[in-house]
Amino acid sequence: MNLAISISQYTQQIRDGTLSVEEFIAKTLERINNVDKTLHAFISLNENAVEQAKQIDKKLKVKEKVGSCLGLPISIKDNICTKEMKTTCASKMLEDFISPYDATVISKLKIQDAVIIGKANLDEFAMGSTTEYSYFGPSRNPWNPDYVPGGSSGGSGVSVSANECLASLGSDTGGSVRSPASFCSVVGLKPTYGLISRYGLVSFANSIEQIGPLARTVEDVAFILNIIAGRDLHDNTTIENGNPDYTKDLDAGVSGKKIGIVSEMVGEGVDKEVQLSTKDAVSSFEKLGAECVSISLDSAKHSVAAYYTLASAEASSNLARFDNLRYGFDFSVEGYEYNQYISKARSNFGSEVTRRMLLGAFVLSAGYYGKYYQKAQKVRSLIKSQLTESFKKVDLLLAPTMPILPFKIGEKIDDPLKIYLLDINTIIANLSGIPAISVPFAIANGLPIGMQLFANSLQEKQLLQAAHALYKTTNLPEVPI
Amino acid sequence: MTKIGLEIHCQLTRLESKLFCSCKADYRSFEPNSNICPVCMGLPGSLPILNKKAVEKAALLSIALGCKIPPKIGFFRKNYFYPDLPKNFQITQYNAYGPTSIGYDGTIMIEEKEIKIRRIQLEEDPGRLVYSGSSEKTEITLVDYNRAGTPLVEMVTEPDFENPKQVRVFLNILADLVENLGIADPYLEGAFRVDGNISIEKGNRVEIKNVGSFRDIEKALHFEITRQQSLAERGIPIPAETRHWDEARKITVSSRSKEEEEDYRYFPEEDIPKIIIEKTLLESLKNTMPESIMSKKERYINKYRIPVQVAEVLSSDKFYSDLFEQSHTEKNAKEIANLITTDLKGFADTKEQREQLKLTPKHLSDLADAILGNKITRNSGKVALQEMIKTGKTLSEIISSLDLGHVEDESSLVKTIEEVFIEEQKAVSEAKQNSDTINYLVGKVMRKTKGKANPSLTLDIIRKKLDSQ
Amino acid sequence: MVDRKEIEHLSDLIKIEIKDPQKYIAQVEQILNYFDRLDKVEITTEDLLRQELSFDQLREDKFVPCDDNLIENLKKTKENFVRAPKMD
Repeated sequence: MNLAISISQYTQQIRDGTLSVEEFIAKTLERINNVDKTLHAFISLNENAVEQAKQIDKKLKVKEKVGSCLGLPISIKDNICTKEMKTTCASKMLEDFISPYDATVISKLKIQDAVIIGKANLDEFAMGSTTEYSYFGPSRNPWNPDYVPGGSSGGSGVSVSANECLASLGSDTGGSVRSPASFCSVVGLKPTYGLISRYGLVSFANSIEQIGPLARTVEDVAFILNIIAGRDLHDNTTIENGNPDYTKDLDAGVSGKKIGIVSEMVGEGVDKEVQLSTKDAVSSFEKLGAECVSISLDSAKHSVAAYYTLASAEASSNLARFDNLRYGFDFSVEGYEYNQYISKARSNFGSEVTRRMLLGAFVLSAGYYGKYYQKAQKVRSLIKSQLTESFKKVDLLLAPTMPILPFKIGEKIDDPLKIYLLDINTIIANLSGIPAISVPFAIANGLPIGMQLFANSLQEKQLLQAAHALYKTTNLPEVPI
Repeated sequence: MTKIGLEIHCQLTRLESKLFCSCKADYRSFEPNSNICPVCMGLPGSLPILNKKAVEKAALLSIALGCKIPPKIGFFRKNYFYPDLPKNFQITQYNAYGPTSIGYDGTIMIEEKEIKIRRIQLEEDPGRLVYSGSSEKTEITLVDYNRAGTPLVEMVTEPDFENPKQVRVFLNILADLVENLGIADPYLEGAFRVDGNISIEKGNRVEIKNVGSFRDIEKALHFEITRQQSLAERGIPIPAETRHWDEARKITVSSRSKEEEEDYRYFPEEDIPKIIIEKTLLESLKNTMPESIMSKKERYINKYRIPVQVAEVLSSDKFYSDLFEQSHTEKNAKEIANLITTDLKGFADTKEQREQLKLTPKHLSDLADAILGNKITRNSGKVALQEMIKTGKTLSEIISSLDLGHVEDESSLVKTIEEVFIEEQKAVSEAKQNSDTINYLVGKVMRKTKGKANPSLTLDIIRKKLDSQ
Repeated sequence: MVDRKEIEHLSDLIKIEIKDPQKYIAQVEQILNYFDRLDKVEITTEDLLRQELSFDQLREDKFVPCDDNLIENLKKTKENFVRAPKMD
């Protein structure tokens, strides 16, 4: 049995009867058992996965209605609430937390009979770009386990790439779905802000983040998107999307489309291999009938500063609720005074989370609000308006997802600002709310390079079509683990 | 010049659900922590969902208080740590970066004094600490989140009040207003909380918090003025501080100065997009507004010729005005207004009395008609009213059972008058000169007939008799 | 700009006991210096056109009871109150 198949191949086999859900789930768990000691994609596994698989097989046997996922194994980033498993956010602060409710995206997947195979590792509270800030230790890149898998949804990227599941849900605040997608050679989508409900996603930067699907093909990502997208009564920030079928017309191609290459994202500071890959992507698109032009987004150079200002501010407030009184970890209140207790409990946040909360408190504090927070919001508006202008000239934007190749674990950990700057190519999509996707494009020195496409708000269909077209031009090797 | 400003927190008790979730707005009957959900508990991943009716009610209040309403309203986070605050921030409204709260820049007239309303904002109530305090015996604090998320409007006035009496009048009017508009029940426990700030001439501003009932605020303010004045007289500067009202000892006490100005790091609540308040919505709200106290008063004066004092009392008390509306006709309106505002005193003052009142609008109407039609004297009317309140019996039943009917028979009245003339010969001779003594004689007749004699008829007959003597 | 006192003040605002404030001083300062570039950006664009809700899109005012066992499941204790430390 081959685990390295796509969702459409999987569902076909299940429907054919050539494969049972139980078989596939059991094989998946075996695979996890083999490789995850090294890769550490998972924080926890679903103890009832096999039982759930059996139930689905039973329903199939008696021709009872079964959801479109047909039992496919999916991993969930551990900052998305699931009722039967812990949701730790890779933090000591939520070490023992079991959510009493399912996130909306989880309910939707369950209705479609997906099997949640486990909770995926991440940078603590989704703050990081390498998954090295996890309380439970880093995840490792399946292409070379000494290297970072990207982050913060590192576990998602690794589990999909290493065939430990068929798809994953991650979250993308500054590039956290696209970065591991790029570094692990899988497809990762950050949808339009408001397309997917955040109810059940543990808030880090609530005006910026979105849940996003990862899978091995663009078609699979579209399949998952169909299930989880849509307006939700539990989330006032979700928007009307017209409920399209994202898998339909995926082959439409890019003939006649205009694609803008963001000049600020392909020049200085970008690894040579990445620059070459970008040139290759451009020729591929031209061969497919698209017109590629250079586009400048000069506001992009302020994007990292604006993003980290706003994200830190929001984080300092969103994480205030973790005072260990109602949920958290084992630490009795007896003998403590209130401020003393919660300060001590909260000293269990990791250093990156602490650092961001200090920054956040600073930029929001009296006297500094105008200089940092309000200024950052203005930069955000500027970026959005420049993008809107660009999309009057082109249909899509192109840039490498990451400016550099994956690097060794531990290499940049002592320089937080250096890690922030890795987000330079991804952040404009988060600040403006527009959708962006990373497509696995090349392998250089054994390490993956992803290409990124951006489209205007709610243009996921067009985005997926272009991504699919690019994906079909590639012929990438199998993951070596 | 004494300056007093108020900060009033009023729960929107007429709502069914909380401000940001569907738990019950009225938490009072629940066991601890049984009126909660992931949202009002601030569980990880939960999101606030704004209550439409809360916006509506708050908008109504803003209109009634003459406030401006911005075209779009928004919410902010006020960040601080406290065990009754599940998210360790409160979702509220904030106008420092531009007007985005549900109302601002309003005014209300209190006995010809203009009180400016700085702002009205929607916000969520925190939970409740059951034990708190610093005694060694209290090792822990217990928290009940049933109240967390209950909808509040906060109203802040400019320091326009000059004395505590104006404050009392204002609060009574405000309480009636929120009741009248169907927004809140101000007499429900914990539903209407008032904090004040006060400064006397050349003194610093002092905040007074924790005034339990809004009836106590007048006492607290009086105490505070006295305290500040005595400091000023002795040349001692009045420190700017926060004091709390000690209900038991009826004094204000300096709060432990635990905060310098706390930094709440206000910033926008992005989980709730801005809400567009269309002019058409405001228009339709204005149209559904129950008649204001002011216009009721004017109607009573102009249409029914009810005296100003009576109209004021009648219009500002919803119970009275409701009773009036349901019982009056054009003919007996003035009489009923009188009955309500004068003769109900002592019988329908408290909530309990009003709930147990057996008096109905028909009772009042029948009584007023009977008095106007001379079927019963006003004195007897008083007696009949009290009996109606107690027993709920009809007027005719009461008249016969208590024998309150007029002495219709003129001949028996003449007889009674002749008896009085014999008994009061001195008064009779005086009465020929002094009209006051005539009233004395009328009074005597009334007493003899147990109030049943027709006073004007009695007066007539007595005069004729005196003239003829 | 950022000294030990500032870190202590900030850590009190966010209620995190930091045993070694020294560790954070250099990094926080470096990052704040990086944020300073925002100051120099000339912006004339108006406020972000973000989504807005119409009044009709708001939630209806209805009471919907939630799970009876929520507090029990959270605290894993039969006691209904949440225990917090004593207040100062």
